[in-house]
Amino acid sequence: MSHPIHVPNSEKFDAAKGVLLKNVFSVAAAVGLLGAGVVYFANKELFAHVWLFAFMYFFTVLCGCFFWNCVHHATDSEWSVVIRRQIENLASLLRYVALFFIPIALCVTILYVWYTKTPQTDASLAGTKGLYLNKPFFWFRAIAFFGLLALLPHILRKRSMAQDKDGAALHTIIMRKVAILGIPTLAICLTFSGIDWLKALNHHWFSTMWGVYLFAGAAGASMALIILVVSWLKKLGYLTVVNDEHYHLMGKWLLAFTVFWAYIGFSQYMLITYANLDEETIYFRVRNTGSWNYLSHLLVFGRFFFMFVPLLFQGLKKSKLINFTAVWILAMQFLDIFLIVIPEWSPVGFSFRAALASIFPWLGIGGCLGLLFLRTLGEGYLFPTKDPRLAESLKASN
Amino acid sequence: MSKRLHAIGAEFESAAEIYHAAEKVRDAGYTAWDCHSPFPIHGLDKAMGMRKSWLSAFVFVCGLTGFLTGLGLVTVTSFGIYPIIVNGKPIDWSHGIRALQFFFPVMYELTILFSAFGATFGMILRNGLPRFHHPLFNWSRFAKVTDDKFFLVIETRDPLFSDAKAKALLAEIGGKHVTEVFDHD
Repeated sequence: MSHPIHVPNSEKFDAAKGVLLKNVFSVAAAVGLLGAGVVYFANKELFAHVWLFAFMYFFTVLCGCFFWNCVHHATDSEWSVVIRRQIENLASLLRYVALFFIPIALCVTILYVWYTKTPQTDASLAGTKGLYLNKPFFWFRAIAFFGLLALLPHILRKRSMAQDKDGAALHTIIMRKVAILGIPTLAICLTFSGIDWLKALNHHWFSTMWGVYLFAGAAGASMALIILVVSWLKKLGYLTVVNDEHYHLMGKWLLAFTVFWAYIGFSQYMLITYANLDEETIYFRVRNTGSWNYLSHLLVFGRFFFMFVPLLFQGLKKSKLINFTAVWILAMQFLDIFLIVIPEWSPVGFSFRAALASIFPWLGIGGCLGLLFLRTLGEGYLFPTKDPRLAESLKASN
Repeated sequence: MSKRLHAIGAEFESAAEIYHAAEKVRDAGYTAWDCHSPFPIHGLDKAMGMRKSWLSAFVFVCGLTGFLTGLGLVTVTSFGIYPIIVNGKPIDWSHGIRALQFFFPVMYELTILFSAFGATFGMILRNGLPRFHHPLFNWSRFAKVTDDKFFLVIETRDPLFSDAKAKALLAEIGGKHVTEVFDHD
């Protein structure tokens, strides 16, 4: 407070500095897509499931980034201005995810049993469930999700970059309105896409906590991704405006969503356990027996207990160790989505074949999105240079 | 009863003034001194050279105590002294330890309860509260601290304290109404 604030110079990404990562992404994309192709010809059913896993991994993480973008504007945050452009860049990648949905659309009859049934052949679709689970409405929803999730982050990023030029406060006011609209939009899109694409893998099963469970994992994992992107840019010598106070704040969110994920995950487990209905318990009956049970335990301990105590410490949040916890949380998101999708393909137990096969689409989609991210990075400044709250963000303190 | 000097106090007009004054008092090496303001000032703790509070460690210990209390409460009652089958939950140690998740809400709630108590009461005790009176209330101008004035006070218990030097320092850094505050009227 009261120290003179020096307006920092705007930073622009020099593509030459990102060559190493670009090569890594290119190799990952090539190996991944090639490997996914091999899986497709070896076993179409396995391919459909591992591709769905990889797609949902990146879809949920990018939705989480859009959430952080909306929260920043809706709450008029000051501290996150310096990292906001990276959140916008990540969230704007949602424009491209529809592309990676194509294989799922082509394999829809393999993945979703209900899709091949009619109310005449499956009694469970005869009631109100049939009003929701029917072909035209399924495709309408998919188009709506991709349309809305492409449009809103795009508007936020475009407005933010326009503000870099003229510095008008009007952009901030418009972004706030879009963001306030964006939160319920995201909640609806993430919940119902989770129901359509994951929960409907077994259309008899239901859980009232499904949407919020996916959201809790996604928001934490996306904050981990944001931390890694910021750390990478700092390592290249950019984003000198981000200091340990900002890391402390990002680490606090990481802790908050580690706890929130456990809270929601446990609530889902407890509600299903105590109600003890066959349609609900099937999910945990599969995942808490045999070899899946070990991975379920690893998820509970890895995603929550191992992270909870270290993240309590201020020193860790302000040090480079936060990057390791971020990598670990992204790995746990991998395990989380893996445990949601793959047991539907292999209910009897862990499949090493599926674990190996799931790496390829993950690398493929991740590599492609990484390359697209590097391209968006060069389109504007690396932090909002003329944001009205930049000065407050520079002197953020906990 | 004879009056005893409690501290030398000075008044400041703005948050910026007291912020810079605090930096100078910190650099002069004083330890037993404090700033009083009508509202929280961001970064003042750093300007005063204050270290991170140990309250968080106390809260952690309280939370851990709460967790272990909850763990003891559910296991001893359910597997030890009152083994009654409720909702099909296990009633003996060997099964119970592997199915602790069903008892988790109790441990979780007690962790939060004890942490919250630790934070609230730890903060109150750490601040030397409750107390009925404070010598600074003997200084009539100090009432303005709840309105629009800022006060910096150097206490006599500071090892570096000397009446003249403290007064000179407070005047030099821009303090107005430099006043001797006694422990009673």
